[in-house]
Amino acid sequence: MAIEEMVTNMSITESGAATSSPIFTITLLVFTILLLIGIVYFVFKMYEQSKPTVESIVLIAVLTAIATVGRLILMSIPAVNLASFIIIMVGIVFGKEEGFLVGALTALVSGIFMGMGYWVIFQMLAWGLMGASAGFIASKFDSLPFRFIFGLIWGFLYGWITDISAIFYSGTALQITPIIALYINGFTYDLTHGVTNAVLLVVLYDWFKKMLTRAKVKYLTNTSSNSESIDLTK
Amino acid sequence: MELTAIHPGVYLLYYFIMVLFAFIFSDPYFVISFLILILVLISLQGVSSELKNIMKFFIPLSLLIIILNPLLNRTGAHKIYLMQNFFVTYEAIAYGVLMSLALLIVILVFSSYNRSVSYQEMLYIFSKKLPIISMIIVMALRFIPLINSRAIEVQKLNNLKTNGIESNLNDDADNDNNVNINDGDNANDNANDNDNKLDLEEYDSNISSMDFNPDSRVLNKIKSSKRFQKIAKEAKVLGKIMGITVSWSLEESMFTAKSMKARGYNSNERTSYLSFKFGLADIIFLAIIFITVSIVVFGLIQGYGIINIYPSIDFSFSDLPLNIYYLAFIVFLLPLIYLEIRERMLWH
Amino acid sequence: MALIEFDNFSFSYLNSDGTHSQEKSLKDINLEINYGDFVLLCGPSGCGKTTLLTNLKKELMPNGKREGSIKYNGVDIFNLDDLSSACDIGYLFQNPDSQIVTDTVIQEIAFPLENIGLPTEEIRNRISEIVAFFGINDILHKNVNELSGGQKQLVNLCSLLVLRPKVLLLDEPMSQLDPIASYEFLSIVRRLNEELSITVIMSEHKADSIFPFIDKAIFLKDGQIEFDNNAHDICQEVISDDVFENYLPAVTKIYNGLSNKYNSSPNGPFSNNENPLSKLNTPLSIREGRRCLNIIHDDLIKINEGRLKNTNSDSDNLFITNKKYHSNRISLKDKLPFSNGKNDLVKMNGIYFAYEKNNLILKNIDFKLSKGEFVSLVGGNGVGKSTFLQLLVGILKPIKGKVKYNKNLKIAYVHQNPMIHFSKDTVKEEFLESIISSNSFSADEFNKENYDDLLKLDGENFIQSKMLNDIKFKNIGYGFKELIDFFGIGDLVEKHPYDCSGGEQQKIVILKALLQNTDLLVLDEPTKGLDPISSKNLAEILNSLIDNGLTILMTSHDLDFVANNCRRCLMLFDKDLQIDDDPKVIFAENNFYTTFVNRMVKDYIPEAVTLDDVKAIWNI
Repeated sequence: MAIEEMVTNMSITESGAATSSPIFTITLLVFTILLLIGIVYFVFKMYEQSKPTVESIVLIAVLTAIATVGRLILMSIPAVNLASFIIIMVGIVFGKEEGFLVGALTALVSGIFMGMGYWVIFQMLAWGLMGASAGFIASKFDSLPFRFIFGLIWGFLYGWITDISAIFYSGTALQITPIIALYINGFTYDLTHGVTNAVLLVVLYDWFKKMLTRAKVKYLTNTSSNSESIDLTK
Repeated sequence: MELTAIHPGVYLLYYFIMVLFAFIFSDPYFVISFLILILVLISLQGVSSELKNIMKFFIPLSLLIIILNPLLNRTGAHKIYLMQNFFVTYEAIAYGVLMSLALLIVILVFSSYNRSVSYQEMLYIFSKKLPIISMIIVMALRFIPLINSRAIEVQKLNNLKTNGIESNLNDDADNDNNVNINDGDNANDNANDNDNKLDLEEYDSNISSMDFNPDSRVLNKIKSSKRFQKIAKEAKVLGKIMGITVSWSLEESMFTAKSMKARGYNSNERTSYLSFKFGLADIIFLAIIFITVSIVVFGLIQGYGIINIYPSIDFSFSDLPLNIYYLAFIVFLLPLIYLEIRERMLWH
Repeated sequence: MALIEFDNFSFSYLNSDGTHSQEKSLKDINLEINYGDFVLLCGPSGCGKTTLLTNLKKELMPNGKREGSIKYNGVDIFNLDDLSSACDIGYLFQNPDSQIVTDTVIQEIAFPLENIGLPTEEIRNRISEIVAFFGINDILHKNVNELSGGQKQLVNLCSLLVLRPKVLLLDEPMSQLDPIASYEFLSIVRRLNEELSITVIMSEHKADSIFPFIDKAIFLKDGQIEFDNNAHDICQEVISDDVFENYLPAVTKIYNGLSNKYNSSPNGPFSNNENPLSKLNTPLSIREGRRCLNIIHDDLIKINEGRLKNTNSDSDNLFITNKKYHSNRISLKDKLPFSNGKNDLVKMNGIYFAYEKNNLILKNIDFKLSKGEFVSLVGGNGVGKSTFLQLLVGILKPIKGKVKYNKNLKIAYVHQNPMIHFSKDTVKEEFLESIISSNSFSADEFNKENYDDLLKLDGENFIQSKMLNDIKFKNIGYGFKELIDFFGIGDLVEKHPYDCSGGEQQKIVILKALLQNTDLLVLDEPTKGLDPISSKNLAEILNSLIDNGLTILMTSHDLDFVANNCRRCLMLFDKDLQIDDDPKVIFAENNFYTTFVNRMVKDYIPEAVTLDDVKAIWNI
């Protein structure tokens, strides 16, 4: 039986890992979390040191709040959330740094509402990367199939990144089981998430791009002449 | 807890160590004691609604882990045959259960953390290092209810029928035509019903007219499918609500920026109206943490609190953990419970 | 030395393309404001009030070209250091919601103190002081979104005051508040001015209750100071100015009418040799006004007697009693198709509503609305007026009871916040959207090409386009262009709706509603934040629409507007429609909740509710 064989193979590879010492796992876990905190902290600190204008600060706060509402407002329908769409749009229009910030902060702020946990740091990373990656390839988004695929892929990527958090659930070893369990548990969730993103990106892209661009221009021109103004777009 | 003030930094350290412990320990005595004590603490602190929400997501996950682990993982000395050729191992079941318990404890620890440390206190610690980011978080927290109430208003407006109401108030009540518009159908359905009428959205230049790339046949297929069209339509309605809310909020927040500038934001290094003094309670708490954790870690190095599961489980319930390491572990978990209980007695 | 000195100050905005606008938003402003003055700034929307105020605050100065100088305490505003500019000059905006930055009251009050880097001890001292002064202990730890609009604006004010400002710049701070909250806010500002001698410069449209205690009023028009004087004198100066006359308190207008009568007609009831009123200062408050009336008490009684002799053949009562007034009402009612069931548009039967359990907002409401009515809904803040409207138009569902509509009734609803209605890039697209949604076009004559063609037309051609002007709007009787002209918003069609002022937005959304080919226009607070002239225009527009057969239901806090225009008034109180009558009857019977005019003349002519009533009765 092929499946039987596969399973046995799996258990063999796994039993090798199982014997590794618990200290290794703990170190890995602590290291991963500290690394993630470090990454996020680094981006935050970079933003702080760029001496952002008041307008830029308010803009990020508002966009974060909007994305968080987009997540909370449909909490009753699991997996359908508008936050990812907003975060991607922010990345496209405002740039990768803003995209990362809004993404990471959305996870953090919704953590305050929905309960803080160490998984929040993984969500921060996933959403942050989502926004930043959209910012990196902002110019490609005018192509419709690209938008669709980008949205769909990020549905799964988001799920996979956040699921890393659950891999460490036992101190004894890195195991394949929780990963599979998580991905099975999360498949429909990720798919719905991805499809939601894709559909929203297909249908609403033009309108939101126009709207956010207008806000960007308006915020930039409203920056007072005498204050040291830093380009929001950079 | 209101009658004892503990510095948020101390809390942060304490809960961080708790989470680490939840990951590390696998000895059922340790794990179960941990679970019981954290449950006692949470019931003293009060169960929050967030916890219930998170549980909805994690209960199926932990069940999956318990079921899947034995199915996928055949290592282990003690085989339990369910059918002729099909067996699961005792170790794999034990592993799955312990894993789920660890998961549960972590969730409970964080739930308790959310009770102990308010987000203002958390931001206080945060704001020392990242003043701007913590300001953004405070502002986002203020905007969220505001934007939410705006979204509700916009959504209400979306329910308004502009195409005429098909009911007649002069008809008798038993007449079927006498439909009360408040009897169920809402605007979204209505929009679908008016197929013969001119559909606003077809001419809607803002909401993207779906001009698909002709090259991509796959996408065309998706486009033509009924299901996609229905989703797209719902997305448009949702999108319209969201779009109006977003542009409205962006516009209004321009004044927020002005009002911040008018009140001197960015003109100086920020201070805080909150202050947390490091008191005697904090020192005692820290001392307890330091002593117990030292002992526990010393035990861990010797293997107390951790069991080997694979290839064969080396644990028996008769091995009572009557040693100083277990005791230190319990003492480590007790301070908050003690403070909560003492507070209850003081109130009575 | 004056505290604030404008010396030949002019300002022109920077255009979006970087060039300086040719048109000056402020022209040759010369102005002196002394320490401790309370200054009222009036003028129609877009006259430069906000530009003037923001130029006084370094942090808010708009981009643009400045000529001349503004000095604060002898120092040019530009050269003020950051800290003293932030602390000394406080600026309060219109909308209470958008200026709040943090989520709890105490954080919000602490916010500016944290900004200027005060130590924690000092911050807490200052907060405790301000909390004691205003008695806001109860709300200190509340979340800001639990507060009412008035409380929010108070918190905003506190948040300025902790910085210990010398000058407060208030930009229409009460325009979003209901009357009660406005009074409270105003009394606090007055207290700050009197007890702490904080200089206040406040712009406001509804100045009735402000005039009595200002030191100086400045009337701006097209960026220039038209009038600048103390309250008593300015009332005399502007009484014949057709723009600023509207800003004067009703009391002053009545006084002027009576005073003119003495001067112009030496015979008749006002037969004194000299004008007894000329000895007095122009009255600004009801109290002063009543004192004036008391001086000419005998004359007024004489007029009253003469008037009754002419009209009371059908009544034995000495004064026009409520009873007689009621009979008048019935004749009014007969003119309108009130009781005719065929003309009923909406019927509400036993409506109950609550947002949450055990907290009923509306209880057992029965209501009928007939074609051609102009109905207003009044009542205190938070009694559920908006909820009532939303139930009526069907966007909220009653818990119990039914709302029934006439067949094919088209309802257009205008939310109290016009921003909520905009989703397009230009005003003309907004109009097109409304027209399309009403199915005024048949599908074959209108398609996507037409739509794009129409959008390509520039403003003037768009308004003139045959296609739009061929549409017949029922119940309105005007063509598209006529409507646009009527509202006077022809030059806005190319603009982004958000770039229009509040009053303009209000007009755009009402026009949008009309373009939906509506039978029933439901307006939530259409008079909020409108300047007196816009308010007058709006009244004119609505009245002519009523004459053409439209039905209008609106809520308002502006009792003068209601009394002057509506023909039926509902008062919502304690979850129910308490009163349903002619507004003039309601306000004539009320003692507190009534118009300024009525409060002034109540002892002499209780049925006079509006200025026009008084003018007609006293023939002034």
